[in-house]
Amino acid sequence: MMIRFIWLCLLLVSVSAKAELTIEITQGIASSIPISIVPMQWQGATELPESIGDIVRSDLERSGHFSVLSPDDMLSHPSELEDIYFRDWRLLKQEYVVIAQIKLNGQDQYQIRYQLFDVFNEREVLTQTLTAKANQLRDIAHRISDEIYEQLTGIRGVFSTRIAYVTTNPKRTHFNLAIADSDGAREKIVMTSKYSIFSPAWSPDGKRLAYVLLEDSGSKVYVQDLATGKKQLVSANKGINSAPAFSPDGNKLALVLSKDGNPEIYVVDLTTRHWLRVTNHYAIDTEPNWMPDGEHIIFTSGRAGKPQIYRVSLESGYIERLTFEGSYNARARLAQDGRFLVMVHQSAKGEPFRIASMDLTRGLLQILTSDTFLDESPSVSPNGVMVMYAAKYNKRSILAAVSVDGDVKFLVPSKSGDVREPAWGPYLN
Amino acid sequence: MQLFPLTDPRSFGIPVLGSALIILLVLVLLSTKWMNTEPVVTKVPKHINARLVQVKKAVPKKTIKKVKNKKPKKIKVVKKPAPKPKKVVVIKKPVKKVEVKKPIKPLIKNKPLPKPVPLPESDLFSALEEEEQDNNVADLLSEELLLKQADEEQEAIMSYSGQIKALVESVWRTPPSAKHDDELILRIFLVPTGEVIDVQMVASSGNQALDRSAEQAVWKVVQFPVPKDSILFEKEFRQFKLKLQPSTARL
Repeated sequence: MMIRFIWLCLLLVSVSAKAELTIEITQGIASSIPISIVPMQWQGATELPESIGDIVRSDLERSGHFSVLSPDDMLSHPSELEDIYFRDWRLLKQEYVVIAQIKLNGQDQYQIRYQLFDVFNEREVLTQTLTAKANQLRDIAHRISDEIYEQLTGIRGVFSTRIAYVTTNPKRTHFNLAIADSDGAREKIVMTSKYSIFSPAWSPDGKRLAYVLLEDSGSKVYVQDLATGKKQLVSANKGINSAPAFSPDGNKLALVLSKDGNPEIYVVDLTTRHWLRVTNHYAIDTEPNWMPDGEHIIFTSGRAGKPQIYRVSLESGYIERLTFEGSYNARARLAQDGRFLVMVHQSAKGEPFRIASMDLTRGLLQILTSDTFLDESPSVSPNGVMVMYAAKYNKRSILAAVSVDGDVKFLVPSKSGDVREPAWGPYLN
Repeated sequence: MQLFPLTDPRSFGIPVLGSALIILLVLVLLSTKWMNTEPVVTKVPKHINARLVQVKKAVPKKTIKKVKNKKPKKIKVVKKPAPKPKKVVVIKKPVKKVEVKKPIKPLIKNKPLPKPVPLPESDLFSALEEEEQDNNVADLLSEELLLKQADEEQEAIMSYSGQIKALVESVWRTPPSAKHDDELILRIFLVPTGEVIDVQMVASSGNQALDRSAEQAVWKVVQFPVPKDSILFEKEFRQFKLKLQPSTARL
């Protein structure tokens, strides 16, 4: 009997060994990741021209996906692995620690080495050595932010990308087309004009900008090379020439012309100058934007009586309505490979204009903004996470940003005057 | 004449006979039932009670003890078997084989033992017979006990699994790139106090950030709630798998 009993026991053990206990975890929390960027070790006599640590800290904090510990709250400022006491960082409830050293490597050449550590697994996640000249330290800082961001969120960072926008003086007699870092720093004027500038649009390689100039003779669409500053006239047809948008391969431009009576969508090949009319309807069709496949265009149309978003196939001309919720949906942009639609939305007549996102696979519409007024011109970051838009805030035209999920919001600082028409640039490499 | 009155509807013969029969039957039944139920009621619980305690605690601990190290339970276990062998040795001294074969036997026998002790002075056959009888009963009982034990174990496993699930879910910070149908499997290694000593990736989600967040979540918990029963711990919780799916993710 004992033997049989033992056999039974063995049998039970072997059965349980096969069917190892599996506990299913079906949800987590989606809050920001605690990270510490330890001040960089620098032994130079003079202060560094840029504080890389500060830039990285503000980049990560602004993204909304991180909560960054202030250096004052750290128990130590290690710069080598041996000096890191993971236990201390766990006590501070930190999940990641970044340490770095910077040294002068010859004349005006800095060498930066940084390491990212996982506090709980106690292992190195990332290490990199970069060199830069003094005027590139800011780029290096954004690049470090990008690397850390991508490692920890699984999404490519956009701190190194740039934004284009239009500024005016209060009297609106003077217009600038400017580009700046995505945090608003290092503004650079691309073009100045006494005419209104509208609708800047980036080429996919980030080397050209298309825009509309409202000259005395009418509106015209130009494409300007950023490196040479040379501008090329693309469209100066009778009536409206507006809303340029580069195709994903950068060879074509979609735009709106009213030469045939009312605004319709056209596509022009920038090298052959071959024109293709895409829409043909007595209602207004405007604000084209390419789908990532390069074969479909989304646009705003008043064909249903009120502005709504539609999608047209360039090949078949088949048109499909995408938005049904709300009395006004316009100026749509796509995010995350075309899964999300971001647009200006008005839920009912008389209600404020808001930026909203719509999940095209689930059909869910979410209003993202609430604190700003007269929200317009949404532009999506290349990683599909953030939307930059123009709005009225304290009686000024400013730029603001909101995440596509609505969780993160911030205002983009601007030096003076009114800022409008933001266009978030592509990845630079 | 005699038969006639019985079938005659006016006669009381049939009712009288019938009632007499019923009374007789009731009497017989009552008497036999009293006789049958009394011993059963007293016997069965005695056996069950005796063995339930013994089999559950003593038998498995012996097997486990070899694997395990320092634990307060050890002391209890050592205490119990110590006095018992003395009794058993008296009965079976001449037959060494029986002793060798059944080192754990005495623990199970425990209560029925006192009776056989005075009867056979040290007869091999009677001892074996005794054992065989015991074996048959113990066999049935152990099966029943195993089932019961399995039920209780299942309940304990569910309870601890639920606590572990809640703990991990409260600290698992999923990255924004997580998709609702992503899935990964970790194997967790614990010491008997519930502390994590190792985490292994069994099946990656393909998203490094998500994989790392899951491993971190396990380390963040530091100490898991685990059953104090060391057999159950060894069987289910010394190592187990966590299947993680961020099903509430937006993507």
